[in-house]
Amino acid sequence: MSGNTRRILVTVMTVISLVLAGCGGNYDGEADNGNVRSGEQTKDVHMIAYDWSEEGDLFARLYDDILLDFNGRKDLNTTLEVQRIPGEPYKTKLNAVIAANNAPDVFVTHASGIMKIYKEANRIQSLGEAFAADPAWKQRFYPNVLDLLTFDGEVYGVPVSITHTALFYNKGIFEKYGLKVPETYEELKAVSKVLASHGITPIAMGAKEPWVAALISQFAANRIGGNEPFDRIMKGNGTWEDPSFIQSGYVMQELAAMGAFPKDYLGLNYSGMTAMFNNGEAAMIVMGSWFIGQLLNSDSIYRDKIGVAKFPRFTNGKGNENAWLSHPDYNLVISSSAKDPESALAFLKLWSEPQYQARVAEETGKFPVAKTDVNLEKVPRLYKELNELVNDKSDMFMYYDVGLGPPLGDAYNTAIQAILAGKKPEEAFGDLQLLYERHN
Amino acid sequence: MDKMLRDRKTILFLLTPSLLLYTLLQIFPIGSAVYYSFFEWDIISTQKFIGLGNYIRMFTEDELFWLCVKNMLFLTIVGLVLQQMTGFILAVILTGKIAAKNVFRNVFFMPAVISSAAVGLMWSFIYQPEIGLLNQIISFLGFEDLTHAWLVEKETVMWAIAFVASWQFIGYSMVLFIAAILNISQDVFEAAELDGAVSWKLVRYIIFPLVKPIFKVNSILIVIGSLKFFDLIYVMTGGGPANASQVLASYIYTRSFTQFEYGYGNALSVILLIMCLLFTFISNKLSKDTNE
Repeated sequence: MSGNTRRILVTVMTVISLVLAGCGGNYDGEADNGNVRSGEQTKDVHMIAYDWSEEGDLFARLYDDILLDFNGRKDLNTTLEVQRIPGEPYKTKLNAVIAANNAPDVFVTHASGIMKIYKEANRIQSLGEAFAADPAWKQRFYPNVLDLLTFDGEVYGVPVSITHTALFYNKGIFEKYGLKVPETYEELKAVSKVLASHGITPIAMGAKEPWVAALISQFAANRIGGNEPFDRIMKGNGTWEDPSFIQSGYVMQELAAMGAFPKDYLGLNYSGMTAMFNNGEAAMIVMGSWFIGQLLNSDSIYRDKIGVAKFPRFTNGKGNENAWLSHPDYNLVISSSAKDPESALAFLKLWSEPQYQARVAEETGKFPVAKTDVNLEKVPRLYKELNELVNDKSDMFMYYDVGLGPPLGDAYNTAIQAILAGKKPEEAFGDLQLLYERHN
Repeated sequence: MDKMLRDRKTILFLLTPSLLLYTLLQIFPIGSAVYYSFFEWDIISTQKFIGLGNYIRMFTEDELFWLCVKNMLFLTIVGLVLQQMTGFILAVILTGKIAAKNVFRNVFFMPAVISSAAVGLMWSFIYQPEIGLLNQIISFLGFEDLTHAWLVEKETVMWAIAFVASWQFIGYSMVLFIAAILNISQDVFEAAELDGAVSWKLVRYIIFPLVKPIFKVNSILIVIGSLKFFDLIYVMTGGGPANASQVLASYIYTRSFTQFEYGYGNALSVILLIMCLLFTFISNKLSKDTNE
């Protein structure tokens, strides 16, 4: 083509590509979901809350209703808008904005480990005064739920729900093969053998995300050694080379070797494994009670055929089946740079009110943390069943990664993942012990 | 115009914007990475100075680090062999008497133009154990027991990734070889044919020696590229299964952004930088030695 035409063509192409590059659009999770509904008046102060729920899931819908309530209040001069960042990116984004001194005014976080880190770095406000000024509010909470949010005698956050980890199973499959729900580890192995021989995956477990495998190993360790070994770890004078931890590693390898986990489980992520269970390809799943809400929201045809049971006990173990892997799974905190701490506090208090706590149970299937009259007719059946099981509880222990916070908590999860990939438990826990000593 | 461009002040003036940008975007972050590598920091709390602590941990306690280095070396060697060999063979064929040579050259070069993330995603689907193309083809040909979960089994994962990496960049090697072959003057070919050289002899005794410099150039490019790999690995396996396919770049990402050990991540970055510089230096030395 002639020189001129070529020049024009190149110029046009350059301009087009520059324009396209510039019009990237903002997909940053900065979802302007228009949750700011302030009625007829416009308010002066505008606050932001970060949430890790999926937009549109049962919990998010309840959150939006509470937001509506809060934003409609005429006595407060602040509106609150929520930004949702589900999944792994939440941690990264939250820490990045905190480091840039641009923290959201209210955000959700795990208790214990990470909350302590925020507290020591002065990133969140103490609610000690708020609780002291309103003892009735503190009384509303069930005993012990505030323990993991209390540091140096002061409470730093408000739990909204508590989760208990249990064994969920597909009643249909169990009936079909005439199986009983396993109550001991031996029975679990026997059931798995039968299921595997019929081509059903016994336990839906995908270890691509390390924390999933840790659910089972933590239960095993507790059933074998009781609460003490991990309690000592938390206090700073424990050891990861305690026999109960090493044994739990061997349990994981044993289950993997007998085919209790899906084929290629090392590459299976959370949505993959829950899909497996929801589709009836797997008979059991060990998961926190938040799973009830997800199950109800899914289109699984087995929704009404799922049962729940306590995680099996280990004969000759120091622990028993009434020790529950539980922790407050959704905790709201107020940033130390919040624009209107009083209003933020009012928002947090809303969550503990009886009508909303009841809705936490009835609508999302998560467990309430404050005294409320849950209408047992409205709650999901699974919630009712799990609630009855939990009533027997003698003990609670928390997720190791929540208790320890990063990086030790994550190191535990990856150690379990490495054990599943073939590493010797003594080695994996030995390395973990080295890291633990380094950080203490 | 010429005189103006030679004037020192003009040169400085014209260079300043780029120099400024370069300092801001490269020198400053590198300096800050070196600085923070001596701290323990999770970006929310205050930093804790620990001197060489991160480096000691890296070399004595962290076996994942050595796994990363091993994987990087693996990728580099496989890349060197696969890319160069295939690139050379393709170049020889595509400078011969084939119809639609240009079309084929473009087609083979195209993967290099696609973003690595897209390439990674595409090959993840091909490698998928149940419905992926690769296993389907293998089963179809009757070799059912040769099917694998390519990206999940730790024996196959690095080979799978190395293959995709080479596949993407064969185009570069090929193009360089083609240019070199086309540079060989026709007289040489005519003389050889007069002497009765058959085609494969042509390749072995004429083409191959004359494109040796290109092997060196390609080696440098491949080595540097392989050391910095991130997107393919992150997209295809995220470093899994259970960290079997981690390389330094993805490991830095995991340590820093997922486990909030930014100080340690910085230390790893500094080591990666040193590795790249070292390899560049060695490659340059080797190629200078044997150049005219």
